[in-house]
Order: sequence, then C-alpha cells, then structure tokens
Amino acid sequence: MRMSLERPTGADAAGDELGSRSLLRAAWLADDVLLLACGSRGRSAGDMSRASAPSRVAARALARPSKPAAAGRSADCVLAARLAADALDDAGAVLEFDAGDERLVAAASELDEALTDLRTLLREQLASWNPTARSALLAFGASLAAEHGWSRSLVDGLHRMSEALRERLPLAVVDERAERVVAVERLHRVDDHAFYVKGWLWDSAAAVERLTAVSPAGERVELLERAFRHARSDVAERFDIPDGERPSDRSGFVCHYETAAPIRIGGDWVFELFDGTGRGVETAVELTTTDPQTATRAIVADMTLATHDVDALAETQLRPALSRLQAARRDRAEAVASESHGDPPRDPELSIIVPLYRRVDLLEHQLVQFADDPTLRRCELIYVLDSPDQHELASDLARELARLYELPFRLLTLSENAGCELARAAGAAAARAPLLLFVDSDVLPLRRGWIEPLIRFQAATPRIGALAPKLVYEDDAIQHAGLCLERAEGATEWTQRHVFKGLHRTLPAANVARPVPAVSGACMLVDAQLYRSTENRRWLYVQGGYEDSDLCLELAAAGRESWYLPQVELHHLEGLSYPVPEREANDRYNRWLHSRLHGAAIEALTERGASRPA
Amino acid sequence: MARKVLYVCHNHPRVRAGGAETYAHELHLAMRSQPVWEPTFLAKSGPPLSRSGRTHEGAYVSPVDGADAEYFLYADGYDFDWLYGTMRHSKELYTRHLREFLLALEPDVVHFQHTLFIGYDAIRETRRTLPGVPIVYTLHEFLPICHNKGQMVRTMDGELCAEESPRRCSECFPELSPPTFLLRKRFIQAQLGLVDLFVAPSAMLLERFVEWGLPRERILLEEYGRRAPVGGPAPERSPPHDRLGFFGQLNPYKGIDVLLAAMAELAGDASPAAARDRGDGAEARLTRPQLRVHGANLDLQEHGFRDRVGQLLAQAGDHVSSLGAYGPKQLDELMAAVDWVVVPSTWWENSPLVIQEAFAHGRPVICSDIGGMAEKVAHERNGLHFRCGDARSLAATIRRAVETPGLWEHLRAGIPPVHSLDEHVTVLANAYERLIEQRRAELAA
Repeated sequence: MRMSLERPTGADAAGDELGSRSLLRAAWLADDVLLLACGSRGRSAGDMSRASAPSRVAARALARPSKPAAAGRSADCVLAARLAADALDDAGAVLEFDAGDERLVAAASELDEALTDLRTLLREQLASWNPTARSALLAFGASLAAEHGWSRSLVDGLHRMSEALRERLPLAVVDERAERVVAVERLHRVDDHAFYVKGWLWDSAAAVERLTAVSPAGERVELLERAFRHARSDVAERFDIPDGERPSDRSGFVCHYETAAPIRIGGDWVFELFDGTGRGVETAVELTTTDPQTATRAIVADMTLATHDVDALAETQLRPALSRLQAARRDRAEAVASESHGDPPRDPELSIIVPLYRRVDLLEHQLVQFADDPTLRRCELIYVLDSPDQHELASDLARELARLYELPFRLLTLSENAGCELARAAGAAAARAPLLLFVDSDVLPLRRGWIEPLIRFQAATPRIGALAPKLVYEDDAIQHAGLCLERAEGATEWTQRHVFKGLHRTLPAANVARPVPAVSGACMLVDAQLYRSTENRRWLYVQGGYEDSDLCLELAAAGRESWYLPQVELHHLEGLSYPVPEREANDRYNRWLHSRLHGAAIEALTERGASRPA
Repeated sequence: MARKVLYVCHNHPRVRAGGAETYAHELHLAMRSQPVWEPTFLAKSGPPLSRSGRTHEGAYVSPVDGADAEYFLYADGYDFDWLYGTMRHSKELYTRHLREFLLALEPDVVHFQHTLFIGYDAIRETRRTLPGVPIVYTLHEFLPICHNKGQMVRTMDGELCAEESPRRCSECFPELSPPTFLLRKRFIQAQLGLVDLFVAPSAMLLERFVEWGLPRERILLEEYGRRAPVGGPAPERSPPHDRLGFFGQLNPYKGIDVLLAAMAELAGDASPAAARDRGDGAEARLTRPQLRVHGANLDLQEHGFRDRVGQLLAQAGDHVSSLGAYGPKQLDELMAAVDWVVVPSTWWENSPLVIQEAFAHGRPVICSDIGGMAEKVAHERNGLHFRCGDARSLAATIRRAVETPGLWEHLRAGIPPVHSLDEHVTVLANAYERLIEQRRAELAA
C-alpha cells in the first residue's frame, strides 16, 4: 500500500477541524487512481471512533460549484488519489484522503462496499452536474494525469469519463440548409502528442468563435487561432457563396496541434464549432490513419492549399508536423542486419555507399561493372537495403553474386523504408574509410579507373567540400554537370537546377572542372570526417530532393567549396533507383524548406557570383 | 601433348537440328580426329527445346546418349532472363554446376558457340574458375546486340535495322525503357569483355559487332568449315534448269512467304492466257519453274503467318511441292533434285549454312541482296540477288534464271570452293595455341 505521510499544505495544522466528506461511491479511474464521489461534509475526523489510526493519502479534489435543489443523491465533491490496488484489502485499515480543503476519512471496508465500476459512478454521481461543472471535471481528470503520469489505464479511464460527462452538441450535418457545419476530412496522428487535421467549416448565423478538438481522453485543444484557413471552392459552391465573396472565403482549415496527454488509445476525436450566437455543432472522427508514411504523404500534398501565403501554411502547420514525422523516422531507422561477403581491404581508401530500394536487380548490374575494375579492390563497398521486405531476396542475390564476381561487399538492411538520405547516413555510419562516395544504385561507371581521378582531385584541392563527376543518360545527354541555385523574378523560393541537362556530354562548357554551389548526391565524394561533422538536418526533407544541396550549403557555410569534375563520367539511369510518385509534391515542400533554411546563405553566394555556372 | 577444348552450345543437334548447333557439333567431331585436341561438347538441354529434363538426382550434366565426350547441361529449375541473357536470381548453375564440370574436365580452351538459355555469366564463371584458360566465342547472329531474337529486324514493321540505340530498341519493345536497354548492353558487354577471341563467320557480322563496341583486334573473320558431301557433289543437271529448292524453317525471317508469293506470280505466267498475252503463240510455256520446299515448323508460327502461307500455297498450285522436314543425311539427295537454291531471308543472315551446302553441290544460289547472303553469294558470278522482301523482284529473278540459256552453267562455274572443315579446324587449332600462350603471358604480367 502506498501512502503519503506528508500533511498537505494549506491544511489546518491542528488537523481535525475540517469535516470529512461522506463517501457516496468509489471507483477505480485507473489501475492506481481511485476516484471518490462524496456527499456533504459531516462529522469531523475526531468524531469517528476507529479501530486504527488513519493513514493519510494525498489527494486532489474538485467541489461542485453549485448544486440545484433537485439534484438528489449526486455527488457534491470528487476526490482522486493515487493508491495501490491492494490498498483496500486490509478491511480494518482506515484511510484519510487529504486534498487540502477537502477531506474524506473512510475505512477500507466502507470503501470496498462503496466500490463500483467507473461507469456507474459517473452516471449516478456526476452526470447530473451542469455542463460547466462537467467541463471542470474533465479538466480535473486531465490534471490528474499531469500529476500522476499518463499510464494507459488512466488515459483509458479519462476516455470513459469524457464519454460519460462531455456535453454533447448537435451533430453537424453536411447540408446546404444547415446553419452551421463543421466537417473533418482527414485526421492524422503525427506522434503521441501531435495531430494534423484537415476539414472545413461553415456558419451562416454568426462569426465563428471557437473550433475545438476534443481528444478521446477528454482533453480540449483550441484550434481557431492556430489553424491555417483557405478557400474551398467546393464549399463555396455547395453553400452558394456569392462570387464577390469567394476570394475572401476561408472555409477550409488545416491544423497541426499538440496535446498534453499522449494519445495512444483509439476512439473518436470530436471537433466542436461554436459561433457568436452561443450555439455549436460537433462532428466525431476516428484517425484516418496511424501509418506515418501515409500521414507524411497527405500532409506534404497540402502544400498546394496555399496560393500566396505559403510561408504561413508551411511554417505553422506543415513544418512542425513533418519535422516530427521525419524525426521519428530518423530515430526508428537503423541497420538491423549486416552481411559481409568476401574479405574487404583492411584499410580501405574509400567507402562506396549505395542505397538500394526495390530495384534489387541493380545490385547485379553494378557489380558487373565494378568487378573488372582493380581500383575497387582498394575500396569498401556497402549496399544499404531500404526496402526491408526484400531482405531475403536481396540477401540471397548478394550471396550468389558475391560468389560469381568475387568482389567483397557488405549488405546492410534498414529496419524500415527510411528514404535515400537516411539510407546513405546508415551506410556512412558503418563505413571505415576516410573518404565516402555516395552512389545511387542506377549509376554505372562508363569505364574502369574512374575512382582514381576523383580521389586525386579530392586530395589536391584545398578546402574542398563535396566532389561530383559528370553523369550522363543512356543517349549521351548530360544528366548532371553541377547544380546551380536560382530564383525567379519576384519569387521567394530558390530552386535547384541541373546545368546543361539534356545537352551532349561533349559540350565544351560542361567539360571544365569548376567549383559549384551544389552537386548531386547520385555520385558524390566527401571526406568522412567532414561529413560526420555536419549538423545534418537533411533528414528534415521529405524523400526526394534538396538534401544534396543542403549538405553542400552547410559545407559552404563552413568555408568549403564543392566541385564538379567532368573528367570522370558515369551513366545515371535517372529515376530507376528511387521511383517516387509523390516526387512533385515532395519537391514543393522541400524547395520551400530549403529556401527557409538557406535562403540568406544562397543570396550571399549569389552576390559573390558563385551560384551561377562559371 | 594433348590439349582439351570444351565447346559450349545452347542445344544439341540430336535434340533439335538448328544451324548453329549442327555446325558446332560437326566441328566437335572434326576436332576429335585431330591428333592434338581432345574436344568435349556441352549442350544445354531440357526445356524449352527439349521436353525431357534432368533425370539424375544432384547431377546437372549427363552424357549425350552414352557418348563419352558429349554432355547435356541441365538448367531445370532455373529461370532464364531473355532480356539480359542470364539466369535470374540463382546463379548456382554457374557457380556450382558449371564450375564443378569445368574443374573436373580441366580444359585448356573454352569455346562458346552460344550462351543462349545458359547465360553470359557462364563466361564469367569460366574466367573465375579457370583463370589461365582462354575463352573463345563464336558469333552466330546478333543476339548480344538485338533483343528481337538477334535478327536486327524491327518489331513494328519488319524493317531491317542497321544500328541499335537504347531509344530505337525501346521503340521495338515499348514496355522496356531506353535505360533498360542501356543496362542490357552494359551487362552483356561487361561479360563479353572477358572473351579473348571472337569468331565471326561473315564480314558483315564482324562490322556490326565492331560498331556495337567489340574491339576489332579481338575478332577473327573465319567462315564456317563444312565437311564435303559424302557422295561428292550432286551431279550436273541438264536444262531446263527450272527446279528451285528452299531448305529451311518455314518462318517469316526465312522469307518463305516472299518466295511463295513469287511462285504465285510465276504460276500466273504459265497459264495459256498469259502465254497468249506474251505472244508465245498457242504454245504454253514448257518451262515452268517448280519449287520444292524442304522445311518444318510452320505450325510454330503465328496464325496470321500460317494463314498467309496457306493462301499462297493454294495460289501457287502445283508449282510448289511441300516435302516437309529433312535430316542432314538426306540433304545430298535433295540437292541433287534441284537446280537452284533460293535463300529469300528477310533478315540479314550471317553465313547461312544452306549457301555452303548449295555450293558444295554445285547449285547456284538466288538470295536476298542484304547482309551475309549478299556477302557469300556474288551476284552474276555464282548466284543472283533480288530485292529483299520483294516478291516481284524475286519472281523476275527466278524467271530470268530459268529462261536465260547458259546462265545456270555460267553461275555454277563461278561457285567458289567451300571452306573445308579440315582447314577450319586447322585455323581454330592454331588460334587456340596462340591464345594459350597469350593468356599465359597476360597472367605472368
């Protein structure tokens, strides 16, 4: 039995002047939290003759603000205390629940007799409290969790409390004749404490005053101030908003919001809409999905909702949600399997890191090209499987190919699909060489001896950041000859452009080695120590682009220059390695984020003329 | 000192008698009679060309009908990838089964006649398992270059293709992207990069492969060697020389439909009405070209083609007799019954064995004016060319061939000697010796 022996503050130190409440009902709110419904104050503690001295238990209390005459037997006050489940076993024990200005003294046997299930207690004792009082009860319940921690059984209990006591509003009906409507189309779990909602509202009676999310545990979060509002032509259509008013229509909303309680249980979220008339409607929804990848995709797609106010949307809603999702992804991603084939060089000069996603067959095509190149024997070759459901296939294939080609390599498998950037990072973490070469799986060297010039140039160039060769398509067109960063007239965002893309690989201007603001990560050489010293916010980007540029800009900020070396050429069969259908949507967000993080630095670079191709 | 050479082929002529495997097997037998060389013949068997697969548990080779130097290689359970020319996923066919065979045999030279159904990886495995052994590879058609059965004929319209590119190949196979074709090319070229010597039976084929990327210095231009007919060349025939012979598969690439269309046109010529139009008087033409078709596998073709052939046969009437399939032993007899051999292929051809067989029997050849055919048959000297795919042109050529007095004799006189199998064996044996030395020197360096 766990008891607190401290006297609560604010109590009468002399002890017994506060009368004890009478016990009406008791129920377990959680495995270790007892809820007591109490009636009027009566006898003082000293009045009672007890078998044993009472044990003090620290408690919290909420008194009913006012009680209507006809309220009957319902409780006047609620106490809650942390108590072990077996505390009531000793029938002779006496417990004194001390909540400062409220007290209850009761024998364990009395408590046992008054014990009922939570639902009964709520229904019988508390349901008749008025709405404001019930609201206070729910807040009281939430405050218990803040004190005692969010155990699953407590959240569960609060959920049931919320179900029983929440003041229900009329259900919103999506109908043109309705006076007010709130509709939720998507609700995503970002993590235990963060959620993202998309929906719309309509009110013909008065201005909207309150948009509240009520969690399954009864916690209330006000959304109106923090939500991003946008036009919804379909709503305007449905409710016949006159054309003249449409530009200022803001019936749509998306909102990223956080809860104090971790929500790990299922159950409905309720969204309440209140307007100036004091009336409201509510709608109840379950989570659309808990799958983080689905949530990410959906949230990124919402970039299109903003026309001129992209920053407002992206910064206040998308970025917080996506950052959390990406951070969780980063934290979850780790290499869970590692297989080594053959004997790698003891002191490799270079670690080649290749993410593999779905196109596991590309492993064979690369090994075919690597196997006949003696330079590869001085390197460590690491493949990182980013589609772990193919682990068995990849593992079998790797073993077969290792035997046939006799080129040593490792195959790491990630715990889940984490995206190209995290796959590279996992490979880098496992790499032993002083130089790292990131290579996409759909990149094939054109000829042997391609690594040597890269290593030499790296060594000979002071303050070098990232180094990348020329990449060409299957028809001899340039795929990569360095990146430049540009911004359209009047635009706020910087975009990254592959210079000379599509032109023939022999174009003279594309065959000059030169420093560039950024290079592609499809084939990128960087010093291992330098790489590991970067702060690395690349995981913030949603799979698909700008991570390369981010790295190069971070290196530039540290005084490093990235270079393009056309003497080395490889085929890049672009798009085979990470076919991402959502690429365009991801790009919009990544581009915004990239400008957000680096805009000032890029401007400075541009002023120095460094961001244009030489 | 005895030397061992291993011939690797995609099929054994005893299973199905295609051109390349027939030649390869003849070569093997000829090598056997050489004093120095002990050849072994390894032919892929089982599906798809043969219905019977592997029978002995754990053994992936078995002797061919009890022969001591001929083996079947089974790939049962392995999945051949037609696009890349490799076994998908499991490479144990090479890394275990082929390897074991190579280690047991210990050849001094490995000569690939084909890697179809086996995979280019066999070359790599050979180099890995026997690093000191030179590798020879005979090119029989354009399979490394062209995914359309190695014919370099376009899929959409049957047009001849002279140059591959990822884009053009993707046009022929729209479900495969251009980058995929680049992958194919890079893969195949990387494996072929281990070959020490290629053998090209025709200059045309050699040039195509050089253009594609094989190093010229590594290709030997060497015609197929053929054994002379057992009974000597077929006897000279007296005029009229109006008997034509077709020897080959009844498929579109061999041009049987072009030939039959020409015969249908010629059948029109021979009618009394036509004779009157030509002003021959009441006498109907005595000279009626007759075609004897020797070949099979019409039933394997698409039904559109089958129907067309059926139609044309009907139109050609009794100018055409279909004599069905034939075996090598019957060839000599069959050659004796014709004056001309027609090779109307609509693909480039490399060095059609039937041309050599025709020449061996003193039969001039009428052939398409492209590729290996035009190279091996000299127009107006030992044969006649017609416009490839053009039935009218072929009909006119046949008419001329049949009606021009003395032409047959003149062309027959111009037939060059056929490259003998003995000479061929000598050339190859010398090449093998040279390569062994070369490989030894390379490894020492």
